[in-house]
Amino acid sequence: MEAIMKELAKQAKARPVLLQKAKEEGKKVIEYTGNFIPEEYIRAAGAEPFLMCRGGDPEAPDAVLEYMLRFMNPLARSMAGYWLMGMDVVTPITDLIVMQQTDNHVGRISELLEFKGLPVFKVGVPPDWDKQLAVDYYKDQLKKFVAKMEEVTGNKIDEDEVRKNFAKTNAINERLRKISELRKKNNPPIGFSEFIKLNHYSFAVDNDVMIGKLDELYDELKDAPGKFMEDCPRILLVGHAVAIGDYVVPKILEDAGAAIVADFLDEGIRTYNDDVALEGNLIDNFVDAKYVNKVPIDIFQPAWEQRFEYIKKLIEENRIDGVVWYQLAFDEIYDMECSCVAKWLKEMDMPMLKLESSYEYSRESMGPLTTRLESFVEALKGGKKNA
Amino acid sequence: MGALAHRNFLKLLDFRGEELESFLPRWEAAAEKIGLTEKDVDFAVQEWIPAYWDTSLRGVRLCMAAYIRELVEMCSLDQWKKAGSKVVYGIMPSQPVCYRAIKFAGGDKVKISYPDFLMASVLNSFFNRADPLMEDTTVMTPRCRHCGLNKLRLNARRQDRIVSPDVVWNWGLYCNEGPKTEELIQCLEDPKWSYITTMVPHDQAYGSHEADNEERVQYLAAQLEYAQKKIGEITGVPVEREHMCQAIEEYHSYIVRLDYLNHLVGNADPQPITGNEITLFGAPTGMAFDTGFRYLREALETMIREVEARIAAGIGVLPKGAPKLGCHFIPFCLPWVDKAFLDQGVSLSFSTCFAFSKEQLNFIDCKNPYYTVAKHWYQGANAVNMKDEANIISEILKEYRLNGMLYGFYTFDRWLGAHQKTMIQMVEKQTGIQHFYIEGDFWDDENYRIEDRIRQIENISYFLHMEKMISI
Amino acid sequence: MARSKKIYDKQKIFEISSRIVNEEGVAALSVRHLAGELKVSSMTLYNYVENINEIKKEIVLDGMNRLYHRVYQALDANQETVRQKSAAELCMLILREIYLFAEDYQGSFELMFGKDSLEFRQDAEMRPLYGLFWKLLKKTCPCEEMEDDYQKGCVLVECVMCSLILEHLQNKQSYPQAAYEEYLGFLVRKLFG
Repeated sequence: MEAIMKELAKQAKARPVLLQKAKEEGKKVIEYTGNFIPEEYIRAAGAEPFLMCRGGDPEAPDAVLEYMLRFMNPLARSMAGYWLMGMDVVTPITDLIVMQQTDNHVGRISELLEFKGLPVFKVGVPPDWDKQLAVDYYKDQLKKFVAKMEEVTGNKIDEDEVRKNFAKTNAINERLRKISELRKKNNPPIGFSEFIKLNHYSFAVDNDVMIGKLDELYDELKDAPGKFMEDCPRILLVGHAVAIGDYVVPKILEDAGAAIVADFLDEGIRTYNDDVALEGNLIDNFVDAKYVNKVPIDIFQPAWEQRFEYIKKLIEENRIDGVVWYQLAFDEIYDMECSCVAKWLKEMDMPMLKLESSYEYSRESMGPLTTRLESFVEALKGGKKNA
Repeated sequence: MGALAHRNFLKLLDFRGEELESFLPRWEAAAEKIGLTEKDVDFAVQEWIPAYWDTSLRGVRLCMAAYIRELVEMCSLDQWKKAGSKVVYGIMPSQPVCYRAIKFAGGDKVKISYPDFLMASVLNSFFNRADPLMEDTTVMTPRCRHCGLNKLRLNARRQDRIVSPDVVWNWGLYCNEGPKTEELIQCLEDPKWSYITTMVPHDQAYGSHEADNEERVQYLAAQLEYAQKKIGEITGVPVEREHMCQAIEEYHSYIVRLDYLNHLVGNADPQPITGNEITLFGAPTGMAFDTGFRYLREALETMIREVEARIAAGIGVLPKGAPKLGCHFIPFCLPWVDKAFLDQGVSLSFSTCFAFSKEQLNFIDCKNPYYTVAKHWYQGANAVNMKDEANIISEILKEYRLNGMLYGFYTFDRWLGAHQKTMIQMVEKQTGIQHFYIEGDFWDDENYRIEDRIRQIENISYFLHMEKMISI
Repeated sequence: MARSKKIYDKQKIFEISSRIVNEEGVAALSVRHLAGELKVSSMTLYNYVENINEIKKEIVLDGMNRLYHRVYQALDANQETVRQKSAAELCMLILREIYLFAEDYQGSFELMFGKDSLEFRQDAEMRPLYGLFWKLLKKTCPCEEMEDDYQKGCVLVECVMCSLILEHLQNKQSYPQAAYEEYLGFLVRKLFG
């Protein structure tokens, strides 16, 4: 596994260099911010996509404080922060940043980028997903997005190309699902720290290469021994996002002896359970898969009861011992949902730990953070012993 | 002291004779319901109100009375429900026309209220007693900086200070937290808490004038019509076009007169009334009163006459020549802010939130009322992209003689407050008017006491005085 | 030693911080030192303030307050100069007050105008309080065409002012008041006539 992960990491890290090369060859570079943007269309238009979802460093969010309120989540702030600090090598060469407008944090950061003169294209994602009005609105937004891709690249998008791209991402999803299933084993051969990185690499590495590597990895892992202690606590990680680079918390948990065997995150991870149908109208199919029929993200409304039903399903299917709620600082909607989830989990006698991250992982902060996480894991271990 | 405190309070607001006697028990019951003790009321009468409100002005007294009447109606909603009326809540920010249309359609068969905005306004502005309803360390954690209005609504429900409505119509057209609070209440406190949302993503191109985007206006109009229809199904009272038109006319006639008052106060030297007082008249344009505009209109006309008289006599809250600051929304729920500036010889003049663009004042086309309301919405500065907002505000500011603008007090709001630091630079560049910024919370001053802000207020005031000195 | 004594007034923290900065220098200000002065633990202090930058910001605000108060009083006492709207005279009046302020509040001046002041100049709450020269002298500009030159002049004056005073305070070069006014007077006359 290490060799494959290392190879994928190397290729993902090299992506900005490839983008620079592609740009020199006359290709367009298009950044996008999340799963509500079908990057398959970006590829079909002959452009190179790049996911803007980096986090884990406290300096990047702070870099926007001259312009924006500090009570905004650090992931959104990082979108502008890295560029403001000169640490973003892709945005300076990007031809367009396509930003999904799911909440106000991203909304205002989008405007900051526009204020600074960057080329931004917004795709509105209505939160009232269960209304036909909203579904039609989102479809219309995607059509505008497609038109914009054609305009920026100067290429007419071929539906068959898009279909092929969706087939590839479906193939990646299928393999991620298979690998994720391995985490249901009593002693999983792969942890969340690797699994989330696989997701992140899949956004950057060539699709065909990724499919091959995932096959290789699955073949290696399917009969591999577990990488954790026998009967270790099994954790479900729920929250907004584990951004690219924000790996501290999962690592501490797994180093402490727990296995994060399931996850329920809204961003920074592939929606690998939701394939896009390849027959018929692809925009309609995409909307069906990623918007209408998917478990709603936290900001959507209604959402929380349905999300909790999904959490219960994950708990049952994965034999969860404890839930870690991973929230970003100042994410007010997640904070509210957490209160509901905490209440419902308490009714189930399911232990929960709430963590808030401002990406502050200095030496002074690590001590208390590690203690909290390790104590939680110890408590879960104790619970298992007594059970 | 008990009954006397309440009586004195109502007398202060010009309740007299039979009206006083019949209203007094209703007010006492309402005060108890929202957690006001006789001591609180006495404190308000003896200390708080005299410190921050000029009750020698009849217009001010009548306006405060209008708020109190509305509050009493809100507190009697449980009785109305028992008698068979339906209850519809609105949540700020929203366009009150749509709710007033429900009243025109149903009369007392439907009661409308904006409980959180009303309670925050009354409890803080007149009594300094909203904090028990805004304190919450468990559900909406303090570190996360939630909106005081939403906290108040949640806690008011938890403490049974407000009834469960038949439906809440929540417009998530600015912030995300407003509508999600309904879901929170439903999940945590009251499964019967029913709501309908009207939401449109903020996805417009930077600098585009959203009111000119036909598609966008049509979409919002469709959303509004959809929601109104759903509410009609719940209340059993369908809202027809003529009800919307009546509501539009009622609203329009109020804002035209309010705009006149804004101009009088904003441009007069010396300024005849305080920022708190002008805001008292402006705030009801953001919430629908079940009692309608009847009392507010009387208060407004009285205020206009009194202001005109003061201007003619050269009477002001500060000497002639005192510097003036406009605001985004004068924080009248923290009336000490206005007073702190006055003590430094600077007056807060008007709020851009309640100053209307020429476009908005001309919006009374009733052919398609939902379209009209939607267009009016996007003609306002708060709902639109940052550059559009800056342009709209710059236009408004051309009509006022100001020495500066004050922003801030919206640290809890990820839409209205998130971008102000940048937006004000844009307006400053376009208008040449110096903009200042103070971090704070409009509804809840738990983290932003006067002691923490007085130095900034003094600095701004010194600066304005020095500028004025050299300008003469 | 008594530990974790309650601090009832956040302003007390800022008062003591200001004293430390102005009596012992900016470098002397640390959470530990402050906690020691207040006879509380560092952790207790963090219940009242987020970090040391919050304290520094308050010191700068307080410094601005004192400086502005001086300048205002000086303008008030020199109504004739104000009435004449002579940019050069007004400039010198302000410069004099800044010098006197810096002598009394060295630490505050360093925070306000020294090498670490960029953070405060970028802060939305503090930003409008900077650029005092241009904001006041703008009113004395004889015509719109000269505004650009005046603005540049004000920037230059502020830079030189900061430089001279900081060198004087840090004992790198002595600029007694008379010398300071002489140098700046020369610059001001060249710029504003």
